[in-house]
Amino acid sequence: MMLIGAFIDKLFAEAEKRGIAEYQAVYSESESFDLQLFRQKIDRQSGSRSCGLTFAVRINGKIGRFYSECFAERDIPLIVSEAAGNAANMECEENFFFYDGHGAYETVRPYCPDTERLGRLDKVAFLAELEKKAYAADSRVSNVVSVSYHERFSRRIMRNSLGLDLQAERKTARAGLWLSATDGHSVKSGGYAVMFDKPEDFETDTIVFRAVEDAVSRLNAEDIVSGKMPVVFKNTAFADFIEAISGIFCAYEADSDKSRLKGKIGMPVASPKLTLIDDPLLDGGYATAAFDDEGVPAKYKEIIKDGVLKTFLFGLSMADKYKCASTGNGTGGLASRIFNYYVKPGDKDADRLFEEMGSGICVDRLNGLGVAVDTVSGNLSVAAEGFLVRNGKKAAALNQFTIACNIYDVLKNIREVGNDLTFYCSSSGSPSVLVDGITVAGA
Amino acid sequence: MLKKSLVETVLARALENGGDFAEIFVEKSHSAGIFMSKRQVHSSQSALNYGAGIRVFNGSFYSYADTSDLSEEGLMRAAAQAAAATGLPKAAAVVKCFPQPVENRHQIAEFPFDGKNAEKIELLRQASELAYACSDKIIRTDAAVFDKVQDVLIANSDGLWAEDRRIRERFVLSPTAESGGETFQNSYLCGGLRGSELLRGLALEEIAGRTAAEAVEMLEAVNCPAGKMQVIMNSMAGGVFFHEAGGHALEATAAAKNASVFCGKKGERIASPLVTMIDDGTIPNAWGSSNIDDEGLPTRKNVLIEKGILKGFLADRFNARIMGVEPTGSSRRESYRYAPTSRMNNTLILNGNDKPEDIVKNTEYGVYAVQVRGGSVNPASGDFNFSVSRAYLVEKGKITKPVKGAKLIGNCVDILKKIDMVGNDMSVSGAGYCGSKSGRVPVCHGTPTLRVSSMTVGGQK
Repeated sequence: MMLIGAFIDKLFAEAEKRGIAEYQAVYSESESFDLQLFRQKIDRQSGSRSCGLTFAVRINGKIGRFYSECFAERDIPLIVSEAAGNAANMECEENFFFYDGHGAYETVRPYCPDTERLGRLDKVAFLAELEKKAYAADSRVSNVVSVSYHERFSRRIMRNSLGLDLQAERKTARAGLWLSATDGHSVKSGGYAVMFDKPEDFETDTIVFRAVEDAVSRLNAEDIVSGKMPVVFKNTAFADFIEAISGIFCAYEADSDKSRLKGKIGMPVASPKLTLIDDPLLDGGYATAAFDDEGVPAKYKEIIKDGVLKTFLFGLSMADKYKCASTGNGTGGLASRIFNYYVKPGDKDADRLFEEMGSGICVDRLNGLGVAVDTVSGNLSVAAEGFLVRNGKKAAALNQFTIACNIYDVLKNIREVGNDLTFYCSSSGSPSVLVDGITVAGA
Repeated sequence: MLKKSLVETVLARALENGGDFAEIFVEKSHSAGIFMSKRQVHSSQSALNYGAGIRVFNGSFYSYADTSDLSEEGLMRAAAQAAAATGLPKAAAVVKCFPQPVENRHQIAEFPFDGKNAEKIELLRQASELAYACSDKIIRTDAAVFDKVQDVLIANSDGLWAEDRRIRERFVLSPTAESGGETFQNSYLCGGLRGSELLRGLALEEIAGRTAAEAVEMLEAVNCPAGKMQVIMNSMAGGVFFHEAGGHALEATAAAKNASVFCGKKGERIASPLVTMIDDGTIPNAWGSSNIDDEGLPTRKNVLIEKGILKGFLADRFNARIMGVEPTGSSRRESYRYAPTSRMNNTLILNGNDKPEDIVKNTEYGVYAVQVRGGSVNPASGDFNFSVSRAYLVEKGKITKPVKGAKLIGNCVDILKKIDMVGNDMSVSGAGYCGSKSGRVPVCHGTPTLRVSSMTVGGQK
């Protein structure tokens, strides 16, 4: 196998030889390591080393790509032919572009685990302690389903014929504890995961407490009484919600009539309490990056400010179509991506949201969200877990129920936004949010 | 794909630290997808995936190392990494593999690559035009074709050497209808262990016409009721229901760790006596089939539930040794980057005696689910959910009107016992992907029309 720089040079030379003027290579490599413990013994260990290269050519304004994990010199003609063939298949009216690297790239500080402390950590002992303490923490813990550790290092190189030459590296580490608990009648499960970027992420007592609490707090659950009611979405649940609907802010989705926000820039589309941000430059953010997938400098933006839609998310192709600048959210195709994407926190404690609501429910987990959203109609019906709120206070846990609403109405019906913004092992974050008029169904 | 002597050396290296079993999975895949929107190709992509995964067992422990470097150096490094994880002292090992014939039960008529792009694009265009022609309310169509040729080699220290080629093609047509501010995107999906004959053999006129007409019909849909009610499911909805509410909790992945609500219930009644559930990886040319599983064992027909009684779990080689059972030929993985584990292939519910029309006639009030988008389950708690995208209201024994989609939820432990009518019209459908521990694998389903006596429907009113 030849060195990647030399391989890319040969691909570029092959493209030139065929009279192709514009081309690009994006190479990524990663190494990962995983440990899983069961009944005080490591029962699975895995390691991975992989690399792949996406070679793209631009012919008559269209870009064709080919991804390869094979770096044999004999495959170079195939890679160039496939990319050119894919460009030739393209028929859409949009034009596509490579980026030449102009403009200022911010110096960013992405999330990184505390590598020094992590280096000293005995991972096997750490996982064994988590499992042991989880069983000891509460007699209702019936089974520790999974205790795992994962770390990954990845590197990406982007080079093209316009002079773009960028590189980025990323390190992640994560541990998680997942368990079941029983009250004798039913089994509920819960868990907690950490990314080793905060001091408490190294404390087994804290992880065990949160994981056990997540499971046992769901026991002795009641069936919900169906109806329309206000709902407090816990921060992590609302973060999942906004991530699931993020497509409605994509310029291509609006252009294709798949987002009902089309034509609404500058108009109120949400409660004045809602400000929704995409910030690739966020200090320590899980998706922090200096540039997008097209090599365009990434920038901070408010998608919704005080309820008013300020921008869609553009890559180079859609920016060309709408005669505007890329917002630095490009993917290389028509779609756009998000980075650190979050709801700006308000000033009320989450408990105050319960008081504000009086009676209703708190949703702390949404199940099956990925297939539940129809962005065209906005209809959403999703499985949920959580608990009752009575007289402004947390009351009984609830058996799994459903909530149904329209996503565009949810944005408008936000009554209050809490101050407990969190990014729980995710680059999508939110504080807890109180929303009116959600249809809830259960037994 | 690789020389036998090299594979044997790599497997021997993997056992050098004293593991009791070593296996290598080598893959070379070529895939391509063409996506058309509004009559124009807007994305055309292809890829070559190439790599190997090496697994070493030592009692109830296993290690896995994967690499995209198939050179001798790359493979030996992965083997050493997998071996080192056992933590045992060095011991010399010799491995000899014996190529075994793999019966090809899935004949492919036409290789899907080799200059077929123009023809594929033309068929996507035809399908789109036919959908547009169905109604002026069709404002957009999306159509796509996806092909994959996956060559695999699986060898292990027990001497197994099995090679297989899997060719899959998948077609999607999604017309969007709009009227008076209401929109609905419908979709038709089919796929198989087939080559280009799949797309070419489709009755596009009938498929496009029906899919577009269903989209237009849904513009009149009213809000779905919310609460507990009778739920009828056709073959497609029933398939996803059993996949989530039954299948996942019967995979050894969950069962071997006591993380399934069905653990310890073999021989017990877990479903209505009307239910016989089979997972069958052998159905010729079905989307979820293959000749051998990803551990090199022939796929087979596994009876999971017989007349309501739990007969067994789907077990891969590793979890089978933990559970003290035989592997069931249903160990699968998305690619070499994943260690394999027990997964469903084509999940079937055998026919009952009810006529589908009698099921409707005998339903006082409920929802008839005919199209779903997918779902999920937590095998440990048994809570499952799935999203219905198209449904009808049934009132006093008659289908009355279309209703908007809704989430359906329940718990595996009691819902399977609530199946009170099973039709005699089983058909195999679906060409979906199931995402779980060993990645995304192709699955399909076959059920007759069936009814659940009471289930929570997450409607809007």
